[in-house]
Amino acid sequence: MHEMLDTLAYYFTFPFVRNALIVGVLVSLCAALLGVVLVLRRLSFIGDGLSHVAFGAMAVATVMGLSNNMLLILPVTIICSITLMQRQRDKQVQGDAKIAMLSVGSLAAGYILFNRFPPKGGNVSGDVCTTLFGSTSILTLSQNEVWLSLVLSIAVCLIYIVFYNIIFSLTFDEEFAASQGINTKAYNVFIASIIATVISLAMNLVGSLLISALLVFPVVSAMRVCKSFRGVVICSAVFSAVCAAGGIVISILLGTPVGATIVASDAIGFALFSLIGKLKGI
Amino acid sequence: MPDNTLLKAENLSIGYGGVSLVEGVNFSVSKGDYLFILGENGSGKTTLMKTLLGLIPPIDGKISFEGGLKKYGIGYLPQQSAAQKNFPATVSEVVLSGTLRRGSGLFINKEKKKRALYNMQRLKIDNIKNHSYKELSGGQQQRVLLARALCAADNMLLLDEPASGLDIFITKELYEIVDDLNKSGMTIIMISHDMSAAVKYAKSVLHISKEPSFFSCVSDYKAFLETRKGEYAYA
Amino acid sequence: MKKTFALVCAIVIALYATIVPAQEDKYEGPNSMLNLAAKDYLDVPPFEEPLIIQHDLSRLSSTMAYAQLYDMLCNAENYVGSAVKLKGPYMPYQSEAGELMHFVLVYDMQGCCELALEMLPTRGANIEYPEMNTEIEAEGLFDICNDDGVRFVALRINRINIVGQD
Repeated sequence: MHEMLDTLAYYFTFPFVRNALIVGVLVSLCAALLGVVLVLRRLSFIGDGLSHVAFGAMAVATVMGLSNNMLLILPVTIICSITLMQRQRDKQVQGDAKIAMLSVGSLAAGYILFNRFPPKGGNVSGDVCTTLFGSTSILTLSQNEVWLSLVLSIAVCLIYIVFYNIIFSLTFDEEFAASQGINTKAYNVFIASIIATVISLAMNLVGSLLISALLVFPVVSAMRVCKSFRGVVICSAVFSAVCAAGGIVISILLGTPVGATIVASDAIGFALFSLIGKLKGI
Repeated sequence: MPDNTLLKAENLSIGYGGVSLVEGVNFSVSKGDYLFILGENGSGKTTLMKTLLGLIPPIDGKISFEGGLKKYGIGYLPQQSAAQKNFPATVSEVVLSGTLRRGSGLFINKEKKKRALYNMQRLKIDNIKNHSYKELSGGQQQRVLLARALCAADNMLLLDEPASGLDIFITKELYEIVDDLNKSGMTIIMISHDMSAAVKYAKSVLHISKEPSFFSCVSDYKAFLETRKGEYAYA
Repeated sequence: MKKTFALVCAIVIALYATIVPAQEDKYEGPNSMLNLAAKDYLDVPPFEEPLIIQHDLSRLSSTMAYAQLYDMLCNAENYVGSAVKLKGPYMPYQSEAGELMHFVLVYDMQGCCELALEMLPTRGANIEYPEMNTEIEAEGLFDICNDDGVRFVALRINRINIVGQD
C-alpha cells in the first residue's frame, strides 16, 4: 500500500499525468451536467449516436490532414446534434431509426476512411482503437488540446450555472416554458451545441464508444440517491469527477486501458449508489 | 363588459402549417370569468389552446390581450407526461419554475420565492415543499402543477383536461379548488370534454366544432344541449 | 437559417483544410544535440558508466511507459541529454536506403499500439543484436539527431542487455 502511494506520488511528477487528471475531471464533470439534461429527456441514445458521428468526422479530418481535428469535428457534431434533438420532438419512431443509421454509418465510414487513407506513419488499428476506446489519448494530450479542453469545460460549467433555472424548466416541462414566452427553440439549439462540444472533447477521454457511459452513469446513480433536481446535478458532477480521477489513477497504476477503467469505476459507483438508494428506501 | 375584457379572439382561424382546422372562432373572456372549452377529440381544442398560449401562431384573425393580461401571461396547467411523473425534483423546484418568465431574468430572487411560497400556501402544499415530486400522489402532483401555473399567471389560468387520469374524488376536489380560485377573482379557462362539469361550474361555454362553434353563457348552453340530446352523451 | 449556417460551416472547413501542415523545412540543427561537435549523427563518443537513470521506463506500468515515451517523442527538447532506460522487444528495420536500423518497442496496455525508439550505438561500440522480438533492456542518453536535414530522436547506447527469449 505504501509502495503504491509512493509510486503514485512519483507518477504525479509527470506533467502528462497532471494534465490527464485536470482534463479528465473537468470533461467528465461537464459530461455529467449535460447528461442530466439528456437522460431526463429520454434522449440518452443521442449521446452514443453523436459520439459515432464525431468519430466519423475525426476520420475525415485525419484523412484531410487538418492541423487540428476539432476544426471539423466540432461543426459536424454540432449540426448533427441540433438536427437530432429537433427530430426527436417531431417524429418519435422515425427519428429513432434515423439516429441509428447515422450513428452506425458514421462509424463504418470512419473506419473505412482510416483504412483507405491511413494517417502518415500511423498504425490504423491502433489509431482506431485509441479513438474508439481511448486507450492512452488522455495521457498523450498536446498542450493545445489541454488548453482547449480547459477553456471549453470552464465555459460549459459557467453556462450551466447561469442558465440553470431555464435548463430545469426546459427539461421538466418544455411546453410550459414555451407558454411563459421562453424561447425554447433557441435554447434547445444552444443546449444541443454544448452537448455536441462536450462529446467531441470527451472522445479524447474515454473514446467514442464509451462516451455514453460518461453521460448516463453519473445521472442515473445520482437519481438513486437524491430527490431534488439540484441534488441530482451536484451529485452527478461530483460522482463523475471522482470516478474519472479514480479511473485514471487505477489505470496508470495497474496498466489497464484508461477509458475502460473510467467506465468500470462509473459502473462500480452506480452499483454502490443503487445499494445506498435501496437502503435509504427511495 | 368591455372594460373587464382580458382576452378577445376575433375571427380566429387556427391550425398547423398553414392548414386551418377551425375557422371563424369568436369569443371573449372577462375578468372573473369561468370559460369551459368543449369539443370532441380532434375538434381543435388543443390547437386553440396552443394558439392562445402563443405556442403556435394563428393562421388568421387576431387575439388581443388587455386589462393587465399580457401575451405569455396565462398560467398554464398542462397534462402530465409519464416522464414528468418520475422526475427528480422537489415540489419547491417545480413551483419556482413557474416564476420564470420571458424577460424576468434568469435567476430566482426573493420576490419570486415569496410568490411561489404564497401560491403553495394557497393550495395547501407548503408543508410538502421539500418533498420529492415523484413520490406524491396524482392529486398532489396536480396541485403542485396548479401552484406553478398560479405563479406564471398574470390573472388568468388555462387548464388542459386536468382531471384526466384522476379518480372521481380527486377530480371533485380539483374542481372545487379551481372553483374557489375563480370565486376569489382568478379568471379560468378550462379545456375539457366533461360536459357535466361544464354545466356545474362554467359561466360561459365555447364549444368547438367544424360547424360554427358555439359560444355563450352556460344557461344557453344547457338549452343548446337539450336540443342536441341525441347527439351528445349527456342527459 | 440552417442552410446559411451549414454553408458558413462548409466554407470555414474548406478554408482550414487548405491550411494543411506546411512543407517541413530542412532541419538546420547539429548532427547530435549531445555532442555538438559530432561530424555526423553516428559520431558520438561513448558515455561514462554507470549511468544515473533519470527516466526508467522499465519500472513503469505499460500505460505510463507508453505515455512517457510518447511525451519524449513529442517534446524531445525537454529530454535531450537525460539518461533513459527502456525495456521491450527488439525490432530491426531495413530502410529504403538499405540501412539497418535498430529499435526498441513499447506497447500500450491493449497491445494494439506501439511506439518505437531508435537505438544508435556510440562510436566504437560493437553491439550484437539478438533475434527480432527478443526482450531487451537498453540504457542510454536521449538525443536529437540530424541526418542530412531530417530531424529524429534516438537513444545513444554503449550496449544492450538481452533479457529474455522471444
